[in-house]
Amino acid sequence: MTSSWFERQRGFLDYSLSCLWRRKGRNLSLIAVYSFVVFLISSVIFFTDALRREMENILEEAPEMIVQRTVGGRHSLIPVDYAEKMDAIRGVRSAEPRLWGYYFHQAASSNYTLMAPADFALPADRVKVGTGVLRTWGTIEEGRLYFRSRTGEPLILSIGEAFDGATELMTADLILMAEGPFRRIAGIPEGFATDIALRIRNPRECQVIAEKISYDFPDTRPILKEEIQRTYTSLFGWRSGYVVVLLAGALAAFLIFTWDKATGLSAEERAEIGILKGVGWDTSDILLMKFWEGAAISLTAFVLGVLAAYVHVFLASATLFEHALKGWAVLYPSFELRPTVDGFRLAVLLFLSVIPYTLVTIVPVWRTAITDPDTVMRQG
Amino acid sequence: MIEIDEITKTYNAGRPTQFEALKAVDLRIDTPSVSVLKGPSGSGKTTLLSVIGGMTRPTSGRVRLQGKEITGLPERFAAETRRKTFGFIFQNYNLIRGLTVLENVLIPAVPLGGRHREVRDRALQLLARLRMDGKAGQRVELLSGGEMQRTAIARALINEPEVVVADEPTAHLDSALAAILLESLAALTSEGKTVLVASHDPLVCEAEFVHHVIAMRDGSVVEEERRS
Amino acid sequence: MIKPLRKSAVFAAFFSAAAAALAGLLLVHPIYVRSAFEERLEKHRSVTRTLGLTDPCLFTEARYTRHLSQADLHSAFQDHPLAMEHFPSGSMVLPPEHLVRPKPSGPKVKPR
Repeated sequence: MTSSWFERQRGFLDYSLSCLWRRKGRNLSLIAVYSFVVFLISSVIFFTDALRREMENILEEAPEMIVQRTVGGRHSLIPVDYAEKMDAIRGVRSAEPRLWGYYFHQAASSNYTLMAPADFALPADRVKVGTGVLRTWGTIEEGRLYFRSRTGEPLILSIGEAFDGATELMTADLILMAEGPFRRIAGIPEGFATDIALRIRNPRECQVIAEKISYDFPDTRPILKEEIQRTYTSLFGWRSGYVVVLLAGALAAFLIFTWDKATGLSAEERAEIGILKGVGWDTSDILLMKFWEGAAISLTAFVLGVLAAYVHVFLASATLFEHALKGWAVLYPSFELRPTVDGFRLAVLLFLSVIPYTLVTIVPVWRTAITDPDTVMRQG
Repeated sequence: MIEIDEITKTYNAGRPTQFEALKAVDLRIDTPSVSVLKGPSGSGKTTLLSVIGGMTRPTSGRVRLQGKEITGLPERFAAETRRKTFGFIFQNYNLIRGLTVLENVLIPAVPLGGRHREVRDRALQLLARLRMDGKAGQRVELLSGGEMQRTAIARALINEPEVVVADEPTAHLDSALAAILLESLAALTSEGKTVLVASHDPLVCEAEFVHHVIAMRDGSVVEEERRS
Repeated sequence: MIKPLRKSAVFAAFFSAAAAALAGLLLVHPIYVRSAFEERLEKHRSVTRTLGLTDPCLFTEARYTRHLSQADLHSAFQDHPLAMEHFPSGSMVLPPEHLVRPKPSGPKVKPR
């Protein structure tokens, strides 16, 4: 009789699959639940990694520094002439007053971001809008948007242009307009701006320039690009609430499985182990068979879960997370994420989903399997 | 020849529940033959069978099969010897429920890692010889008592053992089924196999094909009868 | 008699199909869509550069969530980030680094 390592392993796998197949319903639903847990966790990992990387790349282009004025600890309007003084600081390439603000549209109960860029190319009665605005504004007749100005008068602007839908992650809720209508709607008086955006020649000088600005303009606070980027690279850390809730749920589910497995070796299973020992199986043979059982279930759950997560996040635009991210907001950008997969994280996930489960399958059997096989003869 | 020298087995040694299941048992069993261990329950039949079959280590003494010692081997080797040398038939057959006849028959062959095709063909041949060929794909709990029995026999023979050990194989059978079982066991001697049966069933002990009857009581052999 | 397939063969076939699909997605799909995403990234970068944008449009429910990087310096938002008013965006964003970092032990002021 030729014996081979491979045939032996395959024989054990055959046997454990036959045993699993006896309780198809139970074991298939186990795999389904297990895959779902893996799916949730890997969806979170895929989504947050991809979004974080995308933000890192995009925000490289953000202004090197934003200077806000604060009054009573709150963000306040900044005089435009501050910009000229800041422009004169050595190392500053440009200091542009930015005009932007929020607009709450009653009919759609939705918030939009208004902006008046200095080089706005359209006529004063036109706006350029993000595609999210077109989607949520409500009835738009003949491309006209009705605004309510600060003094309560209606102001009608027509849509001259829309942003490319591909840029929705940054532009979904933007409404660009000329300075005149913007000041009327937002109520920002002449000579004031929302904040000042600084472009700086040498990024290494940012810190020095920020210190100088804090000193020269004590009523302002500078926000560095580095801080802006950090806000988004630390966004969705694993400690953040939603992820913790997900992980805690997944962990609890897994612990219930574990508990059930570790304590619930039924009399029938014990009797079967006795039979196997009786017909000549070794303790290590039984453990090997159980290893294949645990590995078959957990590897299947891992592959199916990660597969589903990839499809969900990168092919279906993370539809399940949309509700979570959307929250109270009416407007949510539709965006596709660039597939980014971190091999290390995936390996950790593989390790965490396969090893503990397999161990939990083997350990309770161990105790039964080391008993003397003659007990099976006595059980009769 | 199976030589059993001074086998002693003590359970719970040193405790108040200490119990001597076997007291210096000495036996010579010819191969091939059909030998029956008889005696009331608690006489040590099952313990002796499991010591011979390598399932239980004796407290002292040794067992030799064709001159080779098989006691005192480490568990790995004991299991290895056991599965190549012995085939086991239990009370109630001890089939694994939910699996098919073929899957049950293949179980003892799995740890040996033989080529699947060869092992399966051997199993199907065995089943055919036991007139079970149509039932290979049937789940065992749907079988009749006689079919379960033949499945258990096929399982005991799958690794082509030299010795088939049966513990009270007729305990739960009516006399017709018991007779069929004994016939099938007796037929094995013509293939050069040795059959060891523990039983207190008179039907077994008085059967004509039995070569050797060993009567046991309180852990000792009290009487031996060799028939020609 | 039709010989039934071995269970390990069926399992291996199923598992390798799933694993191959996964490997295909993980390794091939990103390359396949790469240029489209490069283009999209360039568009995002260009609009960010020309308009001087600082924040993505992820949470539009309130000003301190729409422009997270421009929100108050002294607290994560206006309140603690786990405050229910900001659920769920509040529960997804970490408080600013300087708030969660343990405070440096400076010279203590002795009470007179």
